[in-house]
Amino acid sequence: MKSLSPFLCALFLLLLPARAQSVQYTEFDLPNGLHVILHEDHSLPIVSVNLWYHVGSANEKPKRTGFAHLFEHLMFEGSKNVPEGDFDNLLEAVGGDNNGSTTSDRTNYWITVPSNALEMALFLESDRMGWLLDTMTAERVNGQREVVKNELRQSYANVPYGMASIIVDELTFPAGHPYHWPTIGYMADLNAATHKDVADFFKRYYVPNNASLVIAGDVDPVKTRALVEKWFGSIKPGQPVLPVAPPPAELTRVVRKTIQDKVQLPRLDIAWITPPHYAPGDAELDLVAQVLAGGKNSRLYKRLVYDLQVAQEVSAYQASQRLASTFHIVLTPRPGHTTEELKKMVDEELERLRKEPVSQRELDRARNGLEAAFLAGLEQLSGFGGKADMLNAYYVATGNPDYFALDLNRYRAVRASDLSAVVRSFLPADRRVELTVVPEVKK
Amino acid sequence: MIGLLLLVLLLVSPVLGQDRTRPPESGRPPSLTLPTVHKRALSNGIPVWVVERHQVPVVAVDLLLTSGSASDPAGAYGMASLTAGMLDEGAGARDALALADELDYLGASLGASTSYDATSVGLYVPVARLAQALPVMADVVLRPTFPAAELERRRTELLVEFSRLSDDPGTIARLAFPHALFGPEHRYGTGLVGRMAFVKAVNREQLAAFHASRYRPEKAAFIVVGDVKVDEVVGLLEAQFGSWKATGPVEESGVAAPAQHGPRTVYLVDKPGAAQSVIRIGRVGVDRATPDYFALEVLNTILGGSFTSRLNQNLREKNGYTYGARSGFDMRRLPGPFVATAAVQTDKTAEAVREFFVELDGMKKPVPEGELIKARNNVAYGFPSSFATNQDVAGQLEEQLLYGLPDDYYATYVDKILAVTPAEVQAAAEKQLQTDSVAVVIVGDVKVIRPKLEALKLGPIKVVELNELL
Repeated sequence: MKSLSPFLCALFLLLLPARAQSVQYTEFDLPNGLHVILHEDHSLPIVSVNLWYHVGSANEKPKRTGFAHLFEHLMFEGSKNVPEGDFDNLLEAVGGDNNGSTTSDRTNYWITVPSNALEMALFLESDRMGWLLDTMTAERVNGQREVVKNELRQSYANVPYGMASIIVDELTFPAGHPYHWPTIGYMADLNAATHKDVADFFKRYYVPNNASLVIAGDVDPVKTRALVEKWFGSIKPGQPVLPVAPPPAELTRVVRKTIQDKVQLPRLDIAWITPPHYAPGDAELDLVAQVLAGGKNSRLYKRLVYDLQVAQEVSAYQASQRLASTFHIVLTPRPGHTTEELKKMVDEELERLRKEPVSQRELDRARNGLEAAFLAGLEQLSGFGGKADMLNAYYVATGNPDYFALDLNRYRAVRASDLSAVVRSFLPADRRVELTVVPEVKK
Repeated sequence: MIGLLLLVLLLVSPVLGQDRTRPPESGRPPSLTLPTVHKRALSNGIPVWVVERHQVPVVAVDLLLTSGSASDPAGAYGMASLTAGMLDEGAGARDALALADELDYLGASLGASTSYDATSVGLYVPVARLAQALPVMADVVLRPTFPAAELERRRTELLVEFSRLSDDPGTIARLAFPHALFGPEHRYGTGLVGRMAFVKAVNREQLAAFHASRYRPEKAAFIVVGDVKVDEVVGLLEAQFGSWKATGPVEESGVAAPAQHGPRTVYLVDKPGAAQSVIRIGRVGVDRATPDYFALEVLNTILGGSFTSRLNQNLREKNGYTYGARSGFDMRRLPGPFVATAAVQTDKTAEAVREFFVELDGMKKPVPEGELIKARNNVAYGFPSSFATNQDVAGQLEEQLLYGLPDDYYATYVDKILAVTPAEVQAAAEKQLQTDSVAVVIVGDVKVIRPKLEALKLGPIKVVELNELL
């Protein structure tokens, strides 16, 4: 990601409307396989051009990690008809904004422009889809490699507990599984990447038949379609890209590890492998996370932080992804208390959840909060998690861009007893990861 | 024969219609139709500004108080922030848990926070639940109880956070920079959360008294943006806040205009083993009423306010020292800091510092026309995005209210930006970017970075201990 704000290892934010918000759209395919979705929203004179390539770090191989993300960086460095630096120069000159991000499952790019500059955005986006390699020199690869190394430092190495998120995934998924290595990659692999490696990656994955384009905002659908055909029509398709399909990962025991960091307080990350995004159990686990640690009255917050005051922080979340999700509980004890102490309490609370259904109030509280959060997302047209991004996300995951109401229904259909069922099925005490970060021992 | 070829080419050309050899024209930028701001008042005189936006069934209701952390009494830096933070720990008939339960159940988020100049209590809720959420907001604003037990809990939480300060170089830098620039006496030299000594000693009576003196109708204004009808929402606010009367004496701590930083000095805070150095370079800048406002917006865009800015292009794209570099003027009621900042790899700290100065000094030369036009356009034509969400719009109106910006401020904003001249930018740079009086604050591995920093001969080097910042 090229922005000035920290790297988004984008977990899908759970988003759902309070009533059946339907987002109107039209869609078509170009002959070269590019899928295009158009959505009109004239509330502001702006347009969001949102492009997803269906490739992420999950498509990489061991020893060649970090490519998808490095490649994302290179996409901003110019193409055959766009001199280096001009991608941003041209957009800024028309009052545009842009960014991108890489996750395990996909790479997204978005451009926001005032509506008069839609064609500029399409020119830039199509030029880098079709003509990036023409100007992608070894020097450019080296330059962005250095930027990515600093991203690794700024977002992980120089951040308290920063390396924990990388190590948790390594412990959760076996070596060779696409979710084992971090999207940002390992320094050694990045150092070994050659210009040819990177070019091969582009030719294989950055093809129109492996991409979907959403154009949303102050647009005329007929004129917009003509512009898309004009600028993207002559890009040649590539070979079909098969989705990654590894054997499902499973934890069979408790995997424990302790690492040191320059921190004052220890921290325990507990993680489980859980159902993929949109699969049965996924929405339920979002709600379990809220019941456990969302707000003062949540099970863990109330007991550990508010009543007993043995924890400084507690959080829980379902990180939903395409192949498999992970569920996390993260605990920071207060001075004078230990991670073991907190873990025991967490296990007691999980056992309570397994045995007794939550109250209707608890369920409604959890659900209403998630619904409100989604409405907030609908307000934003462009950018990460905005309407255009969600249209693309829903299309890629389900084939239906207007999945908004159906997404909501996943949560509305949940009953209190369902939460107990998913805790029993997916959050066992004896099959999970426990990563402890302890303060560095001074020599 | 040639005619036939030409004919064939003409027939084929629509398919080859895209001329990639140069970027397409963009035509005239559309003008933004600014939302209508309905200006009303409650019966006790509190202004209420309402913008109706019906795209999504949500509403933001913000209470703005024109008194913030800058009004903390001497010896009690942190009072305004803690008071705001404690509002929802007990209010009206509800205790902390009951308040959280009700708000969470309504899907409402209610947050209170301060800046140096203001306090704001913001409610964001699906509009269907506004009528149920407003009474809770009213309790929290008008009738907080500051329970002693909750204060103890929050106190311990905050003190533990103070003890963790050494964990995060970014946090350390955000405290160390104003400390170096303004000193420990001036309110701006300490963060909003205040000093540890204050947090240790404060009692609930002090919070209650502070609340009584600062949360008063004559300092208040409401901004409402969302899926509401003007008259209806004003009626709801009247019912909840219309009989609000001040209870405590008026008491306001003044903040004196800050003195400029002395001669250039380097301040180091040690973070042994750090992978990066967090650099903050700057000096006292301008207040919000500065006549140079528009010139500085454009100046900062060029220097460090965009991806193509000079600082970012130099430190990230050209030299690969950082993931991102930026700059900014924090314009408060009195002059706030100007800062240029980046987190750079440890072994390039001195090199990066040198490049900061290259760019800061470079701004004093005339800006090439193309670069100036790009920056003006970036700000002017990107303007509509500042009105994307309800909270964006509310934020714009808050700024207008707080700083007394004229009624036509947003209507004339684009034209004023486009009218900024190279001479104005240069004059502003000469006035503001005086690099002989900056504070250079670096949080990093002092043992590793100090020798090459000394070789830069920037000025005296002071090592700041963490406990000076607590």
